[in-house]
Amino acid sequence: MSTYATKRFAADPLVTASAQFSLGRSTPSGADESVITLARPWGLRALVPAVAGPELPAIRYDHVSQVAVVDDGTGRAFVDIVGGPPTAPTTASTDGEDPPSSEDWKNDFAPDDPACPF
Amino acid sequence: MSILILAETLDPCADLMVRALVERAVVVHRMDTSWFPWQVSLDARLCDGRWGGTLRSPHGVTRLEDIKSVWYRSPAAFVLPVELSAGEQQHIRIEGKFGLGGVLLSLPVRWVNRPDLSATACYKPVQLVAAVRAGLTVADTLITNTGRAVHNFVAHHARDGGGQVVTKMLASNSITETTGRSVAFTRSVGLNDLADLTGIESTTHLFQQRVPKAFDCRVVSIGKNLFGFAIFADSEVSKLDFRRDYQALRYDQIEVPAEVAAGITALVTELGLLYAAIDFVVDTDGRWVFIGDVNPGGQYGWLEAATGAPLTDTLADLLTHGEGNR
Repeated sequence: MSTYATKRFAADPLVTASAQFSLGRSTPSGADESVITLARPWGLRALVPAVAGPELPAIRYDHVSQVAVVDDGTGRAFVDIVGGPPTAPTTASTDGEDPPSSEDWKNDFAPDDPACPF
Repeated sequence: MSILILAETLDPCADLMVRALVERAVVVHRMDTSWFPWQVSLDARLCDGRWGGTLRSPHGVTRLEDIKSVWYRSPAAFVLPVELSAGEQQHIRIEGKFGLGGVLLSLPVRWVNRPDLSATACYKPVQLVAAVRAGLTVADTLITNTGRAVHNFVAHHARDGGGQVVTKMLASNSITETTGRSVAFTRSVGLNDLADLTGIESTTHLFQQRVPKAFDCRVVSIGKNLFGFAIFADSEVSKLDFRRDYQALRYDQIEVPAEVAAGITALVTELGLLYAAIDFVVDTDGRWVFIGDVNPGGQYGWLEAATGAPLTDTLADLLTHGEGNR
């Protein structure tokens, strides 16, 4: 079961997957390009909308403790309210991903994501 | 001695790791690469054959010479202001990657995992042949952009009585278009689907025999330790792809059979991974079939929460004391 992420490597700060199979910069190829047509990839026929994750409280990162904390003045660690055994009810809350969040592969690796926003 | 964690700011697994390491009285420096160059600065000088100097973030300063291990959890890409031209942004990204990334990668430290090895390991075709070499049972797989090959593959498995084939993405499971973000789950492909294969030629597609599934299994490999988790799906959609319906899943920590464990160890050794989440289908005869999913950054938090398996502690031990590659 694939759990690859959508954002790794396309703009990875250290390496790129494409570097494992290097390609030169693409350039217009001239006459042939005008007659090339490509259909929408067959693999995209059964897409389903991404499911939004649970609504998270306001959170900030605390550079002293080096963990995320709930931004309500209490200083509670984010992980204490959403993660850790045994209270975490869902994958999303356990792994604390940005919404849309119930996608296990959010933090996994995936090469050359064409949808990468970066 | 200090341990560097490269992770996004919103990552409870990283939060738990910070705690685990602090409890071990280990100096931890966590940062996200997206903070560079705004909140992270590097000052490195080549001296006596290695890079020495400092890495600075709002948390503090770490001497490069003091770093023992790096947990490459899931750091984010550099974030740059839109006021910069595309060319300027590209310049900053490339120079930052080669400078910051290059210095970090050259440090004589243990990486969990080394990002370049993770990048290579992400290629399913690489994983599949490595799994065969490692002695694992591997699902029959086709990668093609020709309709004829798809016809032949699906028809072959129909004749064999296997009945069905599945298709799934080689790399990215999601796509963002003007309509929003969509996801492609694993889905079955039958003879009826062969009537119109328009678009097969547009890129490579992966097809795989559908293994008669008793349950899914994710094995989390941490150093020399393997943790097996059976994932039981109680809904039709989650039986084909467990990510479709997490509410319908149950988990049990299970023993990994010795021959499978040996294969996994050989596989991750060949790929150079000290951490990986590896997915299998356990068929109705009890065979563990590798389906082409080695996740160098695979999630484990929800399995730890569901079963109590000591994954964070084992990872913390690996970062602190473990053996393994640079």
